[in-house]
Amino acid sequence: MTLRPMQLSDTRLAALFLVSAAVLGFEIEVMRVFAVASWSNFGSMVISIALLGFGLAGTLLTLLQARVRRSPDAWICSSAFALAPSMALAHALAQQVPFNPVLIATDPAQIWWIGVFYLVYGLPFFVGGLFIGAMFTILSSRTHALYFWNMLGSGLGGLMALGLMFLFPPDFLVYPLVGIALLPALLCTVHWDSAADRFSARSVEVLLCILMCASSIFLLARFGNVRVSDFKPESYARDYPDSELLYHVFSPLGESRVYGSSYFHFAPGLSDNAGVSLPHMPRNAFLGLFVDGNGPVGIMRKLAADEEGYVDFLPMSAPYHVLSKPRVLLLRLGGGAGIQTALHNGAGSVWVVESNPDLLHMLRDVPFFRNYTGGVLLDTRVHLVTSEVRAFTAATRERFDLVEIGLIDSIGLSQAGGYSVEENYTYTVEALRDYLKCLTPSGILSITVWDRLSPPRNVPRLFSTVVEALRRQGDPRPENRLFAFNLLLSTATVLVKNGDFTAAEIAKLREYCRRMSFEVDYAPGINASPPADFQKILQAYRALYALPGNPSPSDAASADIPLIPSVLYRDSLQWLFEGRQNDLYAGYVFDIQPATDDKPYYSGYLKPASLPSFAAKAGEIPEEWGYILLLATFGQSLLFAILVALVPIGARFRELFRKRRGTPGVVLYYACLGLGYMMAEIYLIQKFVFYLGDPVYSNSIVITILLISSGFGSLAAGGARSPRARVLAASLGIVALAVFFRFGMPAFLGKTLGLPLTIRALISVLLIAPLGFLLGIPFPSGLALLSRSREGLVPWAWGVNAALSVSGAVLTRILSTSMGFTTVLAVMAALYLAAGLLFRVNGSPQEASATARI
Amino acid sequence: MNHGIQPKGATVIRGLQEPVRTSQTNQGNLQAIAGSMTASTRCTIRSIHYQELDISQEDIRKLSSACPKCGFDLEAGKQCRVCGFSAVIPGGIAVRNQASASARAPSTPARRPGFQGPIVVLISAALGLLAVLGVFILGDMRGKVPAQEATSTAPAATASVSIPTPSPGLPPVADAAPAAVSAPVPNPPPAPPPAADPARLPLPRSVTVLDIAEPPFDITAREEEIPTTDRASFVAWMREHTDQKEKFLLQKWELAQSMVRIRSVTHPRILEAILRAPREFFCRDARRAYDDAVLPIGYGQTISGPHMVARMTDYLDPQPDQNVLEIGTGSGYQSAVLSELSNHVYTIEIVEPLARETDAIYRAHEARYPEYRNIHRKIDDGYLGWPQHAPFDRIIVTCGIDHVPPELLRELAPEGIMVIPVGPPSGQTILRIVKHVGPDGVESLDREDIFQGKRRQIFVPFTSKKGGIHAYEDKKETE
Repeated sequence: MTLRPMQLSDTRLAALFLVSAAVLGFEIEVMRVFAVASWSNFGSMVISIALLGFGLAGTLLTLLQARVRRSPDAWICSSAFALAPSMALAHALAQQVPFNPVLIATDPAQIWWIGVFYLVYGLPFFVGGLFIGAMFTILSSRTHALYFWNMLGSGLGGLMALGLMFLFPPDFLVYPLVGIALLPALLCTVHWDSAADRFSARSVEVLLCILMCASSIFLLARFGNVRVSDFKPESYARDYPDSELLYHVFSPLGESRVYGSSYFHFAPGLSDNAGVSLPHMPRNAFLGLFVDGNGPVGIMRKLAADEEGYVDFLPMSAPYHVLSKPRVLLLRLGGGAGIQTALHNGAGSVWVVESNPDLLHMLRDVPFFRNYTGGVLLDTRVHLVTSEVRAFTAATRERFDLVEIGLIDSIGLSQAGGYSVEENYTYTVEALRDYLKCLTPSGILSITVWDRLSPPRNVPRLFSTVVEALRRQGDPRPENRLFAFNLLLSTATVLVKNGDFTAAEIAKLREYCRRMSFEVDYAPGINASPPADFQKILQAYRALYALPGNPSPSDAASADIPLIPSVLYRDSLQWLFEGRQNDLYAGYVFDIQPATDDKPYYSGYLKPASLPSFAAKAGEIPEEWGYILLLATFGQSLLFAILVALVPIGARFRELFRKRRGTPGVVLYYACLGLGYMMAEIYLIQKFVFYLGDPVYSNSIVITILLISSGFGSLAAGGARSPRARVLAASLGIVALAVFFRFGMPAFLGKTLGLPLTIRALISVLLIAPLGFLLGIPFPSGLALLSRSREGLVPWAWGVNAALSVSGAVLTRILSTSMGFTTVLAVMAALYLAAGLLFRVNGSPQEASATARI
Repeated sequence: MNHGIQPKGATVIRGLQEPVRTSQTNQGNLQAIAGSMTASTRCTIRSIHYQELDISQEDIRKLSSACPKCGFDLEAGKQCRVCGFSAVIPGGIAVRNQASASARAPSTPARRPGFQGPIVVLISAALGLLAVLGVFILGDMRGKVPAQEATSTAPAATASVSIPTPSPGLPPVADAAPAAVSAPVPNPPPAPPPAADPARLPLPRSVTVLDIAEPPFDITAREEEIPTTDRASFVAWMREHTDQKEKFLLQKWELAQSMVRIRSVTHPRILEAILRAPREFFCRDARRAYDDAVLPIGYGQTISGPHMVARMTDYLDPQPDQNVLEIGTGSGYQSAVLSELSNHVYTIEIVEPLARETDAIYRAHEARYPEYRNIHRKIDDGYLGWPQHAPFDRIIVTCGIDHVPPELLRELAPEGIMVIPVGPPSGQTILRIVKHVGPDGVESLDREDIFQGKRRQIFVPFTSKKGGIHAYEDKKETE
């Protein structure tokens, strides 16, 4: 095997590899920055933005093809030069955007800032797209190699970004990426000197590179500080006059900071009686832990002996009044208050399952925190397990007298709005069944959540989910196993016993609630008569947002009905026990159907059908901005999708109306592919959050593997003798995989959830790759034929595909949030099946070669 | 570049390690050949004879497309646009007819001797997989650092601790934290548990109790009552007894009427107090004093809308002899209203310049409104209340907080009432908390939403801080 001498195109291919890596790394970085600066990683929006950039670049190249061919290397080199500065610029500009998602419900101007994000963050993707597109335009003889290096670069870029997250905090993540983006520029300073017959680097361009490097760094240093929303809890803590940053640690799982301040007035569900009954309140008992700016989780110091009574006033101590020396399982560590509560109440042993190793490390190993918490994690009764909650509870054979989830996240806090479109697999029916399985015969599952939403949303949903879990366990009489209490505008607690509560236990719990001024919402044996006026109460809640409904008493009548959460809770549970859950779900103003693994949007409370009414009163549901943001993003993406589609089509508009058969079919074919691909991608990302435990892992693994395997699919499609059969086979394969994902995969994932993350990542790769491979086949196969049979429609194909990809990413998220994953999978499968059947619209191979003949 | 001498008559594509006879070539593997040529070997286009090939125009374009110098696409017969290489493709193009193409025997798959693609693909796939493994093993390892090991090697490269600037607050933390992470120090000095001495976290702010003029004024000693039945006599009475302008009096009357209508005000005493208190003195923009709106008063603070003040005061219902505590003096209007109702008003403001500004307003009007002498003013964090004057029969909090401060509950007298907006910055629910004492001495604190779940309100946050809250300033209050 002889090696041929290096050609100029080889250096450009190396640059292509680096550009692909930098661009994909940047995509992951943008998600991370969104997660830190705002509430969620905005994953679907970022994917949509990236596709917009690529789409616009592709369409521009289609329009300017002749010009690109005239001076191809100039296009390649200039886009390579522009990449690093464009990334720095986009990052810096985006930090100047005064976007505030919290206000989106009340301030319509915010919607346009989303559009600005599309333009600003779209820039580097546009530049990267230009580079890659120009390469494809003028290196057609090496398409295989192009595909290959492009895929490999993208794939490794995603992983690289993940690796960089271990090394750099989110604020600085952009620096190494800009550094990587500068490498292709350096490579592009090398040109072929035909006179001397050798390579030479142009010193002017090298100088330009150095200049760009310097200006990028300046730009980032001066304007690149990640602009954290003023409304994030950490922003408040940071601004306390005496607040001090005590600890800072980061990993892909999140950036944790601990602040100390005398302003931390924690009272996580604390009974009002604490202030009255305790001889003195423990002062400065908490440090504030913020993960990605959210929190604070109160790290409780070791209370002095005369202060320990404090924990009695926390709702988490309720179950201890009916258990003696229990074996306790705490799901998530929180700030360690749960452990102190357990030990103070005489727990025999305490198991703590925590997924964030940084947190365990901090409280257990860092001397300052170890002293602060009195070494509570090193107590011999405490067992620490580093694992996902779901992974542990699914796999463990241990049994516990008390399983507790106590205020571990922001569920029920109104700042949590951004999470309404994020998956939460902790409170699903399936999850609760796992937790219940971990109980000893008379053990208790205790769940405490925030209850700060008015009108209530999360607590009724917690009830419906609990009751559904008990029902699915096959319990005909769940009403004797539940005890619920709340403190208005503070927290709500549900105790679920593995067996019926005894009268003595109920009496003890009632007495506890009385001494704590907690309102008992439900206790077994409570008045079981059906609430007569509950319909009217539900109607009064609907009337708040002018929602129609039956019965429809006059506004005046519903205006007089007081809306008291504890009454709602009591009556909701009554209906749930009576089997009237469907009436309840239909009648209540918000969606409170049980969260399931198929629709794990615990905080998604808006009913799609009522959206118009809510939209008119958006200012009154400011905490639901997460969903409104999603809709607004969809609107923006639609605008840009039209732009992407129209630019190429505008030039070839007449082609569509030429009298020939199959034109609508072509549009439909590529629409199916654009939308279907996005559905598959977003579905996988959402589903693998469950399996890999964190969106950042899910995003990077899925995007990476899907890109690579789709690339291989495209390669495989290239040499097909009968493209039609192959595409049909691929679409059938996709349908089969969708069926597997729906019916086979959940059980498989559940069984393997206990394996180490590395193994799970590998299993994910094996699960994702076949689908990606098949997804990669239809598009190039169709395009290859279309370009020969009806070249004029090729821009249409590109445009339609790009447009639906841009808006499809966001649309999929809306669909899964409102209708669940099964629907998404079904639609995805149907789209690909349709595409398989529609394939012939691209033209037959005979027709294609005939028209190409001279 | 030596391809040997080819036998005449046979067409050979040169540049491959093994010459491929075109008689073996059909459309399918021609593309593969084209790919392999450019992927691994340099081909001299000049030497290709097309006569024997059954290929389409497209294929020819592909065959002739790569520039031998740089590898980029080359248009037939033209100079390379990238490197300037000039190639001339001689020979005509002849395409066989369809019949001969189909008659051609299918070839054995091309061996693609020069295409290392699959090898590269395999190697890179392996590399990629290794990278996945690497990243996740790294992640896993971080989770499983044994405690003892971790202490000695702590922190990992990713852990960093800021060294707090020296300040009076949190001294033990400032000492201990850097020690915790400076790996070379084997035995960091054990940080004493801060729990031992809560007082070691002193409040960094200075506390100022502002002087008030003596002697106190007894509002029950006032003889005349404000006419509340008709507008004309109200305006006339007020113009006679106060310095308030007619324009504002008329606006105030209308506003008060609407308060009564929608039951923001139910007690006659509260109505009188609202009618008496001059909101225009306390609004920084007097022209908008009687707008039904939340107005900015500077320092990121606001004055609550008149309906809200009325409603909260109505629920509080302070009596003349009761101790009333207000947290969040702000504009001073709420305390002015309270001073019409009680002889003992205590108010705390954390923003010092604002507190002093408001103090000056009270002083300026003290002569005509002697009840302002009953307003005790303090510059402090209101979270801990004013224990020196506790217990309070009434406590009103006029800034938003996400929980009820326990210390304020402690300072609430038995059967006392607290009105407090509880909730996140995006909107609070206003709670009324009543402290009852049961027969067994157990106190119960009953919470009630004064709007019965039907309305929320936006108050400025409890603690002041720089920036971040101004977006709320112009929120219109709607009833």
